[in-house]
Amino acid sequence: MKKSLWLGFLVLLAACGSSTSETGADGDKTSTSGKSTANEDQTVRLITHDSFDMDPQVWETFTDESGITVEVIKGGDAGELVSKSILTKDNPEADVLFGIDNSFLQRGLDNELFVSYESPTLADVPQTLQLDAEQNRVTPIDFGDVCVNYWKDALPEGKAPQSLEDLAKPAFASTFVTQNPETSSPGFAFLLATISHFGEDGWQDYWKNLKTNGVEVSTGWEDAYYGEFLAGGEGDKALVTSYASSPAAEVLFAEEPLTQAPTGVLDDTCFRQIEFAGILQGTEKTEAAQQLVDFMLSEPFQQEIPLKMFVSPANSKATIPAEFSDHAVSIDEPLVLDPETIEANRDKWTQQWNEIVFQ
Amino acid sequence: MKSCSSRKRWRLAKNVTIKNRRNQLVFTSVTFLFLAVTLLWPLANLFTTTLADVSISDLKETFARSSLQKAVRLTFIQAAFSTIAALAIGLPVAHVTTRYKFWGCTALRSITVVPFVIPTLVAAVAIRSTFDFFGVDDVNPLFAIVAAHVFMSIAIVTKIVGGFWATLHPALDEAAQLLGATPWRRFVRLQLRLLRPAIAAAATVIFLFSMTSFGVIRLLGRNSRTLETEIYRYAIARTDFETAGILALLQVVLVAVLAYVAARLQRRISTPRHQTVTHTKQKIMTWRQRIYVLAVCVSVVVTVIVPMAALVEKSLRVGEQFGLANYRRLSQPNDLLNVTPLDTLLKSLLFAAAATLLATAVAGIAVAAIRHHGSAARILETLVFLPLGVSSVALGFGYLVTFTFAEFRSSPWVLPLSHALLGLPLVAAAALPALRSINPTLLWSATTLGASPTRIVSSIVWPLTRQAFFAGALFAAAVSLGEFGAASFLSRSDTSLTAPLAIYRLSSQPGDVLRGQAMALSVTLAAIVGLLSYVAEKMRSARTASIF
Repeated sequence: MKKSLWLGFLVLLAACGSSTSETGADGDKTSTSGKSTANEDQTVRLITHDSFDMDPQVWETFTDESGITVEVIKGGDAGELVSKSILTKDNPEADVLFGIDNSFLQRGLDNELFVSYESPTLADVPQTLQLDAEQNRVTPIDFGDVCVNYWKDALPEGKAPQSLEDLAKPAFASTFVTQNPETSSPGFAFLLATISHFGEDGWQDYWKNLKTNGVEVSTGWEDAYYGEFLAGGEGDKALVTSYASSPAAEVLFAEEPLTQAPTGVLDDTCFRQIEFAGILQGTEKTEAAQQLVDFMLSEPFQQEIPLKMFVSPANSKATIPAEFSDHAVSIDEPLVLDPETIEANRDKWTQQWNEIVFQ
Repeated sequence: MKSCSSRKRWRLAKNVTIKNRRNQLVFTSVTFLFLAVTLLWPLANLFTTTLADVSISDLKETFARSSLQKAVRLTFIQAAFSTIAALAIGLPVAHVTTRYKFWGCTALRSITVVPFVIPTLVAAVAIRSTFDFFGVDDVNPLFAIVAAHVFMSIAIVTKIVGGFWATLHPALDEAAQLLGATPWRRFVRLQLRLLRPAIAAAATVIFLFSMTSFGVIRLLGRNSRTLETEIYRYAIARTDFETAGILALLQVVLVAVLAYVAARLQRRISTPRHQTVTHTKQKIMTWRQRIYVLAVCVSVVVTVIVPMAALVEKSLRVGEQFGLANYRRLSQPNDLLNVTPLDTLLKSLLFAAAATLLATAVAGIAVAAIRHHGSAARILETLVFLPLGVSSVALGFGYLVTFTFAEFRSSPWVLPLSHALLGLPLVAAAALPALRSINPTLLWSATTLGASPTRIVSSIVWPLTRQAFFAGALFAAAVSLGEFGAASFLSRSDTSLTAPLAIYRLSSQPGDVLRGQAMALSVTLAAIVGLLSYVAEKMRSARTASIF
């Protein structure tokens, strides 16, 4: 008898389970917006990629100033974020999107994801970062460089390669691991670096040479850096596609305090990534969304960016913490390609790349 | 007088039939409703959005692509190899752990479940370290994929088949022995024959699981392409929703056909039989048996324990030395996560508890409906297994375009719901073979003797299927804790950071400290599931009751 009761209880639970799930969303919302008792009492939703992090206290200062509560939603990696936003264009998941970079920018613009907004703080942002300066459908928030990193112990001073060309030389045979451009954002950035450097007709030959020289291609950053590169203790490659800021992270998150990073950056291999925020078409909270974009460009937010996301703030007035600037390499002349060219050729390039590397 | 009583009895029987029919209808509707909301509606929505402008010639053009044909071929080849390999390694483990008494036996079976919960990113690390350990360089990608699938799904065999094996009554075997059958003949003609429903259920689950495997293919397949990774590639890298939609539809159709065939097969090979819930283990007597048991133990060590040990070793590594620092840091606030890794673990446990309860409850209702004959039950069975083989990208995106009401799509509660959807077929796969082999004369006798339906369930059905339900619930919990499937393509509110997501985040930044914590969190997650599994096994061995 007891057991049949138990079964009945399970059935009941199932019924409760599904009904509470339906109300869960509302309950959650009231609890988060309940915090802001100030003038406006609004909640703005910010959708971003999984690598976004911000100190909760920074959000609180924004709420105190404006009365707006920010609800952060993580939408997967940068590629997933853009795809999802295009799919849900008619009924967006959020009011503001942050994390679309210059390699995906044109795709977002072509799909009319964003509405124009010119933030007053843009005056403090260098012109080179403002890729949609005419219409301001997106606002640059941060930038960073994807560069080839090397393990210093394996390639001491003077022995490390200097350029993209060097990577294809026999001296560095089978020492380089990069990522598949179709599955990894730094992998795509590295492909763009080679296209930018060797030109639209020259990069294919370079990749053929890389292949002959034994380049390793992994799926994502994690398995390249920790699986193949020397950093994880598993791999044996001395060169990896990563970020200009990776040495800073190596120091900051080191087991024992380090004075010097174990990795270095090849300055001439860097492709610049700029990350933007945009107000999503279809939002009913345009004004609050604009305030959020302003805040993301303001100093309190911008100065947190380096140690939270390991990229540089777009606002040139923001102070950069010493832990970051001491070890992250700043690249003066990165390789670039304009978003329109990238979008127009993306599928063709990755297709050609596939044929060269996997055939 | 006589005719009156027989008419009364006839009326009673008729009442029972009507009541059965009504129950059957209720059970079918509840199961269907759950699947409609969590699976069919989102998929239908997605397909109508993405395939609105697709013509027949588009379909022809897509299917004619050689890259797609290659991907479909690899999808089936790797799934078939994975299933065969998992059965080949898992069946002896199931046999040894249900038939022999030896030290560490329960632990051996329990530990096979552990890899099930490890996020693929970390599982790939474990597999790679194992290859390194055995000095295997330059592994064939297909071999690596199959090895990872075996590592992750061997528990499906040991638990589903092992649990079923334990209920085979020894009297049958003893009778055969008495009649002079050789051990080999007894094994092939008797045991294996009786085990067929459980083996078929396990094989179906592993095959569908491998078909839609995503992380393993990506991380270990060296850019191999299957249907699932192609759907991702078109949907994400290319934002070509039309092609992705066509591929996802193709996958659904293929999986539905497979699940239907499996459902028919299940029905054909299920036979009611004598069952026992007593323990029927024997002591190891001969040298032959000793060697056999030892060989099986070694196979578990190689496929499960060595990869796990590699993770434990990494989690204990602190700089150049070993220590518990990574574990201590789990309860400390983290620069990157804003919360402690322990918080994310608690959140995962909460979601897993909700998902497991929901999955087990719905599965209980579903199997009650499915066990009947008829095409409705067969279709329902097909639908119940569908979630295992549906593309995660497609389903996740389906949720995005469907659950827009009150932003349910990014609320924390959508997670246990989507986890429960994946848990449902696992519980059903474990419970169905057990339920189907209950001897109906047992139930008829009970009815004739005047037992109420609830009494029949509590005294006969539940004791004979309890073990299977527990095994299934364990899988449901593991699936939820490991977060496979559609959930990984949903958007998450920042407040619902779960342990697997934290592991991914911690692994996405250079730095030994973060790496160490990711490993420690993975091992903790695995240890929790291992412990749950061990407790469940112990509880089973504690029970002794016998039913003929």
